[in-house]
Amino acid sequence: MRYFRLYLHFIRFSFTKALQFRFDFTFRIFMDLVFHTLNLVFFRILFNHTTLIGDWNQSQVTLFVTSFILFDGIYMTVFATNAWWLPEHINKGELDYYLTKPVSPLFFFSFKEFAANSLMNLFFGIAIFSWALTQLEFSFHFFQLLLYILLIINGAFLYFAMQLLMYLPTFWTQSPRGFDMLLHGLDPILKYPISIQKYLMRTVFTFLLPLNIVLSYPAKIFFNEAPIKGVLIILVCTTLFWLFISWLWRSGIRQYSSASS
Amino acid sequence: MKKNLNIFIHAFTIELRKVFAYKLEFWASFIFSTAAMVIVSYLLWQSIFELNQVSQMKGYTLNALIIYYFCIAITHKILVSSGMGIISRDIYYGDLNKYLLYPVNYQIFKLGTYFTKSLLYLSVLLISLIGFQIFLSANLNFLSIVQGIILILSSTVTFFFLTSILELLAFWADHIWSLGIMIRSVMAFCGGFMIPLSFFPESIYNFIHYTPFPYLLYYPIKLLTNQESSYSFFTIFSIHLFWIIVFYIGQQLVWNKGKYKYTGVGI
Repeated sequence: MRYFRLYLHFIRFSFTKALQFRFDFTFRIFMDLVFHTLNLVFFRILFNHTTLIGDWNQSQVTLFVTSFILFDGIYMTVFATNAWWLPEHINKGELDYYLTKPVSPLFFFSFKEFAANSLMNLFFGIAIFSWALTQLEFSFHFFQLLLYILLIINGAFLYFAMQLLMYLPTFWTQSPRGFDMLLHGLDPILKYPISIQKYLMRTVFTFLLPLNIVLSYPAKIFFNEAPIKGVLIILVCTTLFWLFISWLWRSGIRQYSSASS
Repeated sequence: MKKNLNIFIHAFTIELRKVFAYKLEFWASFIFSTAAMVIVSYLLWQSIFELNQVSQMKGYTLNALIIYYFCIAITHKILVSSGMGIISRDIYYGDLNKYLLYPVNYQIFKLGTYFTKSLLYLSVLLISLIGFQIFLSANLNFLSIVQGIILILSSTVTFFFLTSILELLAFWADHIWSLGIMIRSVMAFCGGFMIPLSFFPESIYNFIHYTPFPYLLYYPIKLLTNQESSYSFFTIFSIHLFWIIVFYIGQQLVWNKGKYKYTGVGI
């Protein structure tokens, strides 16, 4: 409850801050709209030349692409800004600020910045995803929708954990951006449907660096391709991944030597 | 002229030292992002070729598409080599002060910085072309490679001037990062980074030719890989010159107005 109240304070503060930078506030909304529209147009163009991508048809791929918009809305709103600053906080010794407060440093660092401008895109994501659902050729249960929401939120948490995995080595290397460009470079794997992946790639990006679990598996819920047992495995995997990140974070904090480390 | 060239070389050398201070990160991120893009594009098109049981689509075989995606992924990196903020950061943090005091041409200094990573990526592209010729029978020829390289360099200059107009808006706007990312997304899409332009519906295809973007990415790659192109080297080069002049004038106008807005205290 204490943490929930704290989070509400973070949100209020972030809105005040975002409205001070009005130009950025407006352009970030436009940027996301342009980016996602181009992505949708790209797949539409592809379907002018084929009827299936892998074994997914146009309505399935559209649902997947709009899932990405929804995921991006959640991730950018809740996590992205926080994750971005970690290497700089470590290298400049600014992590002291988080460590000296009477609250879990990992919680404080992970949720402090709430991107109010990206919240608008989350609403856009919800709207376009709802439209994509109506385009599906087969019906689905309300239960499937609930499972999907659970998995897409889980996906955002999991992606944040992967992002931290790329940043946390900064505690040891003191490099300016950690290894974030590696994950950023793997973005195409996240953005393209799993149906095009072959066995080896599918295994690597499901079990080793679980990018497929972030988006493709949640979308599969609607295609009746993801059994309940699979959902439980996904949740267990995410928990294990987070336990590993928490351990890495604690090890990093022990390594941290404050200012100009 | 000689003084400007010296400034360019100095800026280039300083940036090169920075890049090599973190060379593992630089090369690892470059290799990962290029490989991921090419592999995913290959799998995507392989599934489409298999489903439609064709060996060619819009003049591209699967091999030709791999080469296309590889070249365009690297060329895109050459064009956007330095992330957003190369000029705007100086304005926001007040670092522009030192450049205004030094006897150096700020634009040339930044151009030198911008070109460092571009030239490193370009060297990788050149080496890769030899590999394509040997292993994928790429049908390349020396003249088309030289023409392609010249066009990629002029594309980089064109994009630098376009980007610097946006960066200079930092004199007025609180953050310009999102504006820059938006232009880069549009450039990538209209330049054929996601899919070759010949796959576009006619209406969109015709429309995007009124923008500079197809000439920055798509056509230089067509020439570089010796593919049949509706524009000759000289036509594309002339278009580049036209846009360089337009963006340069725009940049000068913004700079001349903006520098009087500059307070030098940062935000």
